[in-house]
Amino acid sequence: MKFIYILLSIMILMSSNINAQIVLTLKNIKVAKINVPISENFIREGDDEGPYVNMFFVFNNNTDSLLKLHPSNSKMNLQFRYDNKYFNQNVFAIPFMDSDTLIIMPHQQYESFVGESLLLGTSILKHNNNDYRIELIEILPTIKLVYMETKINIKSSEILNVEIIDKKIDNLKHKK
Amino acid sequence: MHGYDTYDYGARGYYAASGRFTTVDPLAEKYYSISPYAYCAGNPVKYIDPTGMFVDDYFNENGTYLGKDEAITDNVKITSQQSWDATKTVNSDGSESIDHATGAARSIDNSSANLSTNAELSVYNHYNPTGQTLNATSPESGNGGAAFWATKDKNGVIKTGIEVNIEGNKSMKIADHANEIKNIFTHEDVHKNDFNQLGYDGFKNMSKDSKESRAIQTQRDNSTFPLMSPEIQQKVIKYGLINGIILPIKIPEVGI
Repeated sequence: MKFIYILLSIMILMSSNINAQIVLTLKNIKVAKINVPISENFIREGDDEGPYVNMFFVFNNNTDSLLKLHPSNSKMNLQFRYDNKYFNQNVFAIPFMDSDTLIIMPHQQYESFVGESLLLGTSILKHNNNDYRIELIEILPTIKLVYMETKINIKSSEILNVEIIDKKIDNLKHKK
Repeated sequence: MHGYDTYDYGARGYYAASGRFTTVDPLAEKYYSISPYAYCAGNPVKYIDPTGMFVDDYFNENGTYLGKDEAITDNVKITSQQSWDATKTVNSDGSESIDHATGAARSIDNSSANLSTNAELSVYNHYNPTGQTLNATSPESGNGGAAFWATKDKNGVIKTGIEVNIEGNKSMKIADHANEIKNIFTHEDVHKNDFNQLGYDGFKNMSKDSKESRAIQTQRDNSTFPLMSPEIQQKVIKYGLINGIILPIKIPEVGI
């Protein structure tokens, strides 16, 4: 019995150690459709779906051994916090998740991206108003990406950069 | 607004990215020593499955359709007019084709070809059954796929069209697969038909759930849907569920 406890403890420690040595970082988040004007004379599919985020993520293999991931058998979640509530949605990183096997060499990294309408399907999505500037100030710093497959569960540790893609904001930058 | 790479072999679908079928061979029990997901015992060169065929489509640098090959994939390939002319076969019906090995060696994927916007739109137009004018969306529109749009000026003149997210479709590899592109247009065709039936104000006042659930049901029921990559299928279904589609329930058979 004691042997089983020791074995289980070692296995749990090994599993958490693997996760600790694989670091998932959000290298860049491009945020678009932050404030889409509503016009009586123009209809475009998707304009009422709120902000769109394209997240460029990096897996860092900080171990001395090969890291083998199985993206086609994995699950990826996008999480954030707003108004003291946690939001969680499944996202599909395409074409990353089309790969059966991904090998990352020791001390190397692998980059890919996933895009999603951040607020679509949540109670935060507005009707008759597409201005999400205030909401995003609260949401963006809390965004996390979670990668899950058998024996691996990694949550992104930090966001290195946020880029706003908005014509009106670009215009303001040029006027300065 | 979405896409795919599996192929209909009548009995089951084939997913090119993994080189496997998406469902078990109905005769798998008979050949239990071979993976039920394999094609022609894993040796497609030696054995040919005659139950179905897919083709790669070829376009030139201007996005003009050239012809096809006999591949079992649905790739959208770009080649030079000169190379095509040097290696093509003119068929009895006047259409042109190329041997797959030659075509594959002398072409590149659409997403890597760096075509001009007009050439890229010409490629999409080859698969566009809607009769709508295509234009390229601005990069901030985010997701891959396409979007139906309509405008009404002060004189009441109405214009409609479809915006194609060229860059998004390249990054998601939708641009490289004919079935994925075709599937996008089945979605947009529903919006166009709804618009034609309801008019500008009626369509504008139609709820988002109604608009999108109708389009996604049609997209999902289309023969191209099972030929898409599983991830894009799931992305479409997720988008549908958010917008209120109701999926059919598979009721288990109960023995009497």
